[in-house]
Amino acid sequence: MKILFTVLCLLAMLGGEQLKAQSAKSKRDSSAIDVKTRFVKVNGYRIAHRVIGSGEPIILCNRFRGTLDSYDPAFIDQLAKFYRVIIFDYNGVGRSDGEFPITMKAVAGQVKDFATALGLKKFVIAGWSTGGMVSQILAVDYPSLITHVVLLGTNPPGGGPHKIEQVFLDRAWKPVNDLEDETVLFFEPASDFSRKAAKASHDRIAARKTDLDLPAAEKMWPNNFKSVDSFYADADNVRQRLAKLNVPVLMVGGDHDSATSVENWFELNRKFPNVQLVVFPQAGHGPQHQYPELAANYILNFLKYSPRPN
Amino acid sequence: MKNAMKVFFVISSLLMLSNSMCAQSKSVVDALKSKTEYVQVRDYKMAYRSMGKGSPIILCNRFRGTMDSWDPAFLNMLATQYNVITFDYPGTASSKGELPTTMAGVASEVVALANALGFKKFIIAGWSYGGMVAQTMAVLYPDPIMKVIIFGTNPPGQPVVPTEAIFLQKSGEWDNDLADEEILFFEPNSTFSRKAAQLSHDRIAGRKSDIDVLVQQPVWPRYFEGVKSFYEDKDDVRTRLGKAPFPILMVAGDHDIANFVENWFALNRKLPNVQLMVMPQSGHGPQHQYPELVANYMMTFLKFSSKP
Repeated sequence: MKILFTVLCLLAMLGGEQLKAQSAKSKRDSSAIDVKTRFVKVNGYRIAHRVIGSGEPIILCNRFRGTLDSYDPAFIDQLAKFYRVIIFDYNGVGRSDGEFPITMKAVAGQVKDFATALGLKKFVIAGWSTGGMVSQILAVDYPSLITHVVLLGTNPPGGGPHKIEQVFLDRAWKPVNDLEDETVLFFEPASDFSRKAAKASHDRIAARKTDLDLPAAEKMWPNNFKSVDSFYADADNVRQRLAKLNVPVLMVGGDHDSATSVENWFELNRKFPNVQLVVFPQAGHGPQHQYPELAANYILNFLKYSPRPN
Repeated sequence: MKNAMKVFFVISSLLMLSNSMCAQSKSVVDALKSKTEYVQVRDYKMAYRSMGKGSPIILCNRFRGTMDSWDPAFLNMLATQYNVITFDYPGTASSKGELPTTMAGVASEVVALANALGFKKFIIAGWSYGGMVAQTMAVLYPDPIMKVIIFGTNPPGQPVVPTEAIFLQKSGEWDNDLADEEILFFEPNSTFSRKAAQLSHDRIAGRKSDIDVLVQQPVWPRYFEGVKSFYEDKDDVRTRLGKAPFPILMVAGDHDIANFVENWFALNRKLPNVQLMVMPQSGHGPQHQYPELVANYMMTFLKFSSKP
């Protein structure tokens, strides 16, 4: 009996391995590296987007000048093992039509309309930098649509005393950014570990060879900055409304983010009963590019195990 | 043909059954039923419990903590993938010997325990006072250490924000009831946290036999002497911790009145190997308030963190 049991266990394990191999193959087919760009009409404008994986939807909102090709595939593919990850170009960015709005509230409204156009009733809203600001507004303006909020390298509503560094602005406004610019913008140039991570992430992103996005058109850049200003001015009191939101929020920061300093979140410790904070060492404005698997798995844990704040 | 189908169904259902049995024999751990065992360490017997299979995680306890102070939900989750070891420090609860009065001394005893249990490599973890033990071990005895996890604890050296008087008062009372536990380990201002305190209390009370004894009062001052040595930091643990060759995860409550998370904020960018996690509406015991979430963050940290 014992031998029979062992044999059966072995057989079952073999079967499991085969299944695993098969699903790994189907995952490869839908990697961020080769997934096709799709288009959907939203309020008369074509919105470029890509969908990776299956499951509950996560909408990822991008950074200043970010396009469909700005995300690290290692990060996206890890999330896509359990979720349907949706990335998109804002209006007036990359291959999406229209104009980038001058208030963050208007951007959030456009993202909500995009989600509606895709038929999504409930989703996880996530965002990096500018996208984190969009996510926070979307969450307080349309709370019934949101199950969780995930923020990466971004500021709290109203900003904070720790301002953007000049070295970041200098690189952010260059017409074309090379690896050294990326290292300054999204990593920690003072750390060899982070510099290596910058190169590795750059190469992963460069692995996509076809169906590429267009760069973010320069004429829309000032609008993006105006939107950020509106988020810092916080006329709609997003800061207080976010604190009252009965939805778990995860904020992932780098310990030296030269654009949106994590110290601004330290300043607000105990003010948000729903915000979990993770701070990565030797990291800058793009912690999810430096620690793609680790950051993605913390996010997966957060989504699976976080209780509602009240 | 019909027969072939029958055979196929029998075999496939057997396969499914055996699969679920394999899975069961792997993952069922109940911390409430883990037996107290004893191991000879130097010239005394140390009490410990062992749960689960995998790389060992040695959990170092808080001031007055015993093997029964850990939340079973937290232990059970970790034990799905690791061999979790809880123990009583020498001279406390069920362990013989004497509690050393310096952190370096306590660290040396925990290393001796790991040796006695035959661990060549292990993960060191610790809560509060135990977090200080773990940090000291990581610096003084780095060789066997794979990774470090600390929670509700202070960094080495003088803290910027000192422990609140109410914490010292409550932790110095012999009988701590649920209301005391809320103040000591949770956030009494939060309804959510108070509910979590009750749940954690009940889970811990679920253990009905093979119960540990409390740490006797005459030992208590020896803990404080150890903490004092950690704050005086004669061995310069603070500087050396930042150079330790392994990743460290620090999990904090946003309002820990014993070891303020602000003390870690003050060291932002000073420790290139420390990941910091802050849990909202919580106090000195974030792993009791969010047992499954925190345990899973820890397992993700262990699985995906590379050398700094």
